[in-house]
Amino acid sequence: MTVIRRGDPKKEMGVTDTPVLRQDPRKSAETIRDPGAVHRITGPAQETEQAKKIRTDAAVKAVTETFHRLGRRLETVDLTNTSQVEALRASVLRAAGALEIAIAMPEIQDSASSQRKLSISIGSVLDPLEHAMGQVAEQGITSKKFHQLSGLLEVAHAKLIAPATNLRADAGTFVSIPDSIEVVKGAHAKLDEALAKLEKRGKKLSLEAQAALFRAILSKDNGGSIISIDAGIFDFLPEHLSRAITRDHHGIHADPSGLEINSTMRLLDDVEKVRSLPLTTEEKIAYLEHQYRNVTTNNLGDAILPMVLVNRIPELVAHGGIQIAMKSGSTALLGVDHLRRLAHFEDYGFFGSSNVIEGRKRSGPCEVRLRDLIHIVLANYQVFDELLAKYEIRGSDRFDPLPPERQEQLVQEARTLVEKNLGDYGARMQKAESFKSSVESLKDNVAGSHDQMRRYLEERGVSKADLDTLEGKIYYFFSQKTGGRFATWDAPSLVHKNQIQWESIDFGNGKWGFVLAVPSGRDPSFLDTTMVKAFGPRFPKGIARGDTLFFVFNSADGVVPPEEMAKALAEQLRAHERKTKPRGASQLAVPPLVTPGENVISHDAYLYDDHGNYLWTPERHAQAKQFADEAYEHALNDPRFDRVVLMVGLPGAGKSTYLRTHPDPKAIFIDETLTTPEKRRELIDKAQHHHKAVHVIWVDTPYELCCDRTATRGDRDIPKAWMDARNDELRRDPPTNDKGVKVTVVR
Amino acid sequence: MGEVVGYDGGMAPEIEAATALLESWDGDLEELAWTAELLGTIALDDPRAVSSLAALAKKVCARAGDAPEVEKLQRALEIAARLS
Repeated sequence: MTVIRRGDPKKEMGVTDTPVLRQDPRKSAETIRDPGAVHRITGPAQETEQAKKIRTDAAVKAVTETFHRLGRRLETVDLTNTSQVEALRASVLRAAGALEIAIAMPEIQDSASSQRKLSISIGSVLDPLEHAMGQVAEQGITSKKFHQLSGLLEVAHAKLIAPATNLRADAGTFVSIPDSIEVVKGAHAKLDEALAKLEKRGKKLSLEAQAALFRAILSKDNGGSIISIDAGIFDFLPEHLSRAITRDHHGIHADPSGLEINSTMRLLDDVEKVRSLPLTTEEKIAYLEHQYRNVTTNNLGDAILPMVLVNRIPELVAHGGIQIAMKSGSTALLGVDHLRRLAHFEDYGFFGSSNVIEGRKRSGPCEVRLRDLIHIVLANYQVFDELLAKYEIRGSDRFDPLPPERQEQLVQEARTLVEKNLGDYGARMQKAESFKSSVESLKDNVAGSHDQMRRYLEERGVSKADLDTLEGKIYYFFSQKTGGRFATWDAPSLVHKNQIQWESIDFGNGKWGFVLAVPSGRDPSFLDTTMVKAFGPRFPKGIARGDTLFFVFNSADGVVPPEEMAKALAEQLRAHERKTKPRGASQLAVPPLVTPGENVISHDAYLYDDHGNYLWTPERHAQAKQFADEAYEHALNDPRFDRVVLMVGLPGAGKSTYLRTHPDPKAIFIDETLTTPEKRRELIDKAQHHHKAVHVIWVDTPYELCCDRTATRGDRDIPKAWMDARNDELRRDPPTNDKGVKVTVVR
Repeated sequence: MGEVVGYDGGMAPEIEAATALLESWDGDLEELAWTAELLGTIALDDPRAVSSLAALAKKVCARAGDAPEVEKLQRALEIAARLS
């Protein structure tokens, strides 16, 4: 949000402690153009139900009309024209007055449909209002009138967001795990019948069409669809059907390109897709509500926020975000982009991110900054930790073992408390502080838990060689008996610098659980799929950064005692070290390019020393650039490669991840930022000179997200000014389809 | 600017399933309700197919009479047509 700062807007507007939207409603009503509405609004004290309805309808209509006029005026206003500015000012006052009257009416306070109409009207002016505020600021207008207008707009913006507080969707009904499975199984049986019937009629559907029909059957029978959020509850179904009703990022639901997209982001994708359609706002809301009518999950930590957002679909659609409480009694719009950043931090940045702490910049009233997003995440984790303790869930935040009615209670409580974190600034800060305190106190016990487990392993015959092998790579410790789950999970990662942490949980009676986790910015690549052999088929085939790898809680899942696990991990590590020895620039004049997996050229690859540390100096950079150029020439002359793929994007965009997940043995990949046409042109000219096809893949990831990722990488520091400059270059001259070059944009 | 990954240019799955149901409709009203759901799921990727599907749906609706499922289907078709 653009915030105009030109002194105290209230003073400049000539009012002291009475903002413009706090006027006497009757005075404001005098400015409403529809005299009939005013007459009806000020009707007699004793009213019939019908009279009340007429009065309510009139108030809503007055808001709709005045806001419609305000929106049009904001879109067309010439801010250098004094009379138009005056007219705009009057229009803002009229809309604000009508709104003030409407939201003060008890009938409207009790009516979800009336509130929804109001919210939609308000939403229609938020964008043009913000645009106008930006214009005032950009044009550097200094006259008193404009000062007054900018103050007025700023106050209006803050106040207009407020009335959506009680707006809730007719969606997001939680269905317990057993009930949801039963419902889905019923729909699956119907689908099978329908497909058999169609086949008899000579119709065979594609897998995608089968999935669409499956969703339709579910929706028809349940008043709307059912979605599993951040949980593979429906993974017993064929994959195409499970994917159709799941918003998750684990296992088969992970992004195929390996991009860091979680369940909240998938929900926001759905919202944004529908927002862009040529439908009325009401239709968009109804459509999304239908899709998310019923939801289920077993995941407390990752699913509650998206479930809260489902509950606030009308706001998301009408306003492009949700309202949250901020300091000093103010409110702010937590926009879709804010929510994406928050969700990314929660899933990929939070765990072990001591370098992020809380974000340095503090927000002013009505503003939202990174610091605020982090407070929300921490406050929510505190809520989850308290609830996990209350519901006696140990070892993880998955609540499958609870009976259905307890699942419903837990989800309801969690939603209410997360809503409180969003809607009550003081409560949010208190919860965030509690979480930080909990982590701090747990940090003091981490070393003791580690030593305790080391002694345990030694006593059970794990060799010194095995323990030495784990040292510095895998940090192991016994789970602490006190402290919340998320705090217990986070605290050790702030103490050790190992790539992976292994928490052993003693459930008694010889039963063990464990959590393997990768703190943000660490590299878990030394554990590969051979781990499946040690821990059973459920071990994940891919390991993500900044996320938990695996929970195991009972022998049926393939759990092994800590001593066996330590031996298996040590063996795994040694096998990995035999396969891959670190290479430094000094050893490699030209990269080998002998196998399909090594046809990626990046001068960055030559900037790592023999110990795997990234080391940048002007001299090393020049040398690395020369090595990369030579490698490119070498590859262009190699007949095995018939094409060149230029990867374009900022650091942290996901280029390397894309490469890992899209191998192509016939292509030479250039993995650089390539933000200017000149840099790209040089490489393209060389490729075309060697008659190679050229394909540009632009990984177009939001700038803020790239910054977040690079900030938490840990292997190198990239100055913000450098990132800004590269981003400006790329936005100014993005890759284009010219001279036989194919461009693909990956978002 | 190049293509955006994720669009394969084929027929939208909702349209494919709805077409199959309508083309071989045997009077089962539940199938009409499914078809309405399918079209309500918005044929984003292939709006061109909506007009031919609409003609097919109208014929089926005429056969189905005034069942509530027909009204739902007609409403869904109106929205789908606007998207095209």
